[in-house]
Amino acid sequence: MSEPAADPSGIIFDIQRFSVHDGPGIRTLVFFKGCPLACLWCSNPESQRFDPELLFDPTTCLACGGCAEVCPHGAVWRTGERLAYDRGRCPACGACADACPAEARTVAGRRVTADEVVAEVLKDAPFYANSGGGVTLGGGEPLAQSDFAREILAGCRFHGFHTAIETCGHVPWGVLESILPWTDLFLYDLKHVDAETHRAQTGGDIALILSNLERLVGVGATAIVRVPVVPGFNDTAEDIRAIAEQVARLGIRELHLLPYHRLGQNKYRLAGREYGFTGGEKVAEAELDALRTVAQEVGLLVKVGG
Amino acid sequence: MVVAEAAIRFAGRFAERAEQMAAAEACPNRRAELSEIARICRKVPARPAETFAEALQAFWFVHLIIQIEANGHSISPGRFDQYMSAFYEADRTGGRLDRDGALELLDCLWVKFNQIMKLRDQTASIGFGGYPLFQNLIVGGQTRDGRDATNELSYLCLDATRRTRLPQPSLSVRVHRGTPPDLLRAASDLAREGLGLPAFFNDDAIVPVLQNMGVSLEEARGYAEVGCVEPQVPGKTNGYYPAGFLNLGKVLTLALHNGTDPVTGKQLGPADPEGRGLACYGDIAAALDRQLDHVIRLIVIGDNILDDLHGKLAPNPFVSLLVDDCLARGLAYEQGGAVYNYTGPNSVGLANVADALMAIKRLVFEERRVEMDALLAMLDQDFAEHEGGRLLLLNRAPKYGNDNEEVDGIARELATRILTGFKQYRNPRGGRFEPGLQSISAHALFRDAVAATPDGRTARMLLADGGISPAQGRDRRGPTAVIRSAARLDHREASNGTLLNIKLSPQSVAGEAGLENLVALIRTYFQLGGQHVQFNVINSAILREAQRHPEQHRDLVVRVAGFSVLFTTIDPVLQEDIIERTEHRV
Repeated sequence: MSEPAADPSGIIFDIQRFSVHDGPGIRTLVFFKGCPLACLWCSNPESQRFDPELLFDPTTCLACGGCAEVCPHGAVWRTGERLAYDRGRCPACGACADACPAEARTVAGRRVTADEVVAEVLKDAPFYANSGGGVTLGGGEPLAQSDFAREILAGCRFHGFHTAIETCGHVPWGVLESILPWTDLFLYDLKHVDAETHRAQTGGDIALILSNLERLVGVGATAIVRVPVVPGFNDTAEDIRAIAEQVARLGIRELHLLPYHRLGQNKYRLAGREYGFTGGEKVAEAELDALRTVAQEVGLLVKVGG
Repeated sequence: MVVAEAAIRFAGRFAERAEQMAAAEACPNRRAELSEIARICRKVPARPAETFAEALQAFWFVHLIIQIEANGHSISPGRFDQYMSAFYEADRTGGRLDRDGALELLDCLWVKFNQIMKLRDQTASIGFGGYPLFQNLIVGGQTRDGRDATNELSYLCLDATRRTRLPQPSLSVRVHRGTPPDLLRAASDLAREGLGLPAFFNDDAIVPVLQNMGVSLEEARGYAEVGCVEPQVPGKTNGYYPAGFLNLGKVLTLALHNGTDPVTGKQLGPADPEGRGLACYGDIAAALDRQLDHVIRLIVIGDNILDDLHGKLAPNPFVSLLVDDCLARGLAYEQGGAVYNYTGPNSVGLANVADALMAIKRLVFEERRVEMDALLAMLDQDFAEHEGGRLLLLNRAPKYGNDNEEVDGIARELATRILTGFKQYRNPRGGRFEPGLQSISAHALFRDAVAATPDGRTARMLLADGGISPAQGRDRRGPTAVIRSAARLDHREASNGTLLNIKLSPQSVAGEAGLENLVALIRTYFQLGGQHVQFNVINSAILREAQRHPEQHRDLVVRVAGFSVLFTTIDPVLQEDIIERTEHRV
């Protein structure tokens, strides 16, 4: 392991203020870019890769050609009335995004230092103080950039903010252990307890995720388990009961059911990717209520929507 | 004496009518009610009220007569929970009234507030957003010696608005450091119902503003709001509000055209005597200053002529009877009889002009992405064939309302410049001009009067609503950023009030946690020095409007756990789904 940088940097794709569904109070949510999993239903497709990506929205493009004039990579050029774009030649340097008046071309992902992130988080300090809020690291997977994440958490803790992290738990235990002293709350994703189903749909190893969760609880960390309820994947009473029982067995009290939504679908198009999930449109309200009851019967405090 | 006797006779006519109705009434319960009404109307306002019901009736007669006497609006009940509390408490301890009975009486009064309707011409109905009467009734706050003044009636007033769901009275809540958390929570709970009520006022900012205006600390603590956000000492003040609306958008277009109005082609403002051009940002600021000085002076002259005429032609004796020191001075309310005499002009389009100045500074003079001449040509053509240029101005320079220090600083400087510009003038009643930053609905009135502006606004687009709210759809970083921007203005100078509208999504304030977050937004804004805030909860009508005009609604964010997206960028099918759910919720 190399010596950590004095002010480590990392790649994020957004910082969202006034986040109210990701931990207590009014929070600032830092979206890390890059994730070890590749869930088909992911609502933030631009969060999956570790490099900047160009998002292009043809519906707002004026075809003014400003992008073609400035592109140093020959990735965008004029053909008649329209503009052609070769994603393969584009390293997402952002020159075209800067030239684009219509915001049709934007870059998802920018490299920033931990200090820069903390400075942004600091802006809403009085709101945290009045609401019991703070900072939440999400993404993407924040722990895939653990030095960077740890430095942000420590910086926020220095200012007295409540700190939370949303994680899929698919990291070596040492990484979780290293952020423990700076983290007040773990919002821990648990998608399925069956190893085969989990691997097929997310590409991840559920045994690692579960053992990490067990060790977190073992060292006294506060964790809330969050389950994305995905049609055709884990939306039966049996699926949710199995997850809830596992969670209860570990001694965790609170479970959030996050219903699958397609609000991010458009972003696949902007990123030039296919939306691969075909499992169904949404989980019906009545079905969610039934699933909530299932988890409550196991003895958990259940919230729908976080 | 004549008007006081007239007021008693006026009440007597109500008593007579009630007696006649009682005599003809078959139902014994109703007959008893009517006889009681007749008894009360015979008693007040001739003699002092002794019960809560009598006090309400006395209040209503006085309020109604003032409404009849003058055709003005914003006749505001003020600190109703304070002056009514003793009657309420006496009835409660005397066992004559329970909470529900009192609430029913308040409900009736609230209905009465909505029955008053005055004739308005079309201009006024656009400028004031319909026919509201701005009867501002304010609860909470402090006593003269700085203790919390909240009482049971404060809560009952909130309940009456929740139950009647009517737009009048314009219910307001005074908040200070010692406001009980329960009151703030109850008021916030009402605010998230989407009625646009109550408005929240910050004692810790407003009391010093009044002290700055020469009011003693004790009196300042007794302030009430008139109309929308105009603070004053009740019973001692003649504030001439709103004394005109300074159209900042227009002033900017005059500045960019050396005093010529691009809409009419007329020379409305002074031309630069030295014939300087617009070669640097300093030139723009100087040109704006020149036009501002001119327009402020014109507004003051117009106000003072009207003010003088009111005193000469239309003195109101009944109001003069009620306001100190009209009797002692022997002068009517309109003639300088009041202790405090203000004239309160407002200004419209602060956000647009700050955004426009920022865009010129950044894109013309710093980055040189647009030439000044090319910018003026685009504006003169109302951006026709220049959509790229318009979007550059709109998207490529910071906008007020996003917690950006640079553009917020421009807004602050501009606001202070306007406010101090007005404050050098006096009115014929011996008082000062005390300007504010609020627009009511004047931004709608000015729709056709302002040519395209360098913030990327086309000629037909509305100027920003509210006084210090960001321009429509340009606040893209959420309510905490809006609050930080708004708090950067110098609220101390805005003696006729500042008005901030904040839009909230229903999900963000749902449940217990959502209520606490709303309370935290209010508390924080007030700690940062804001004077006033009110909330609109996003409803399906707003979302439908956003589907039609996406650019003006880029502040609408759909937030769920770990995810957020602009409403205007999602698939129409999903938009429908969200609209349906929003309808369901409200």
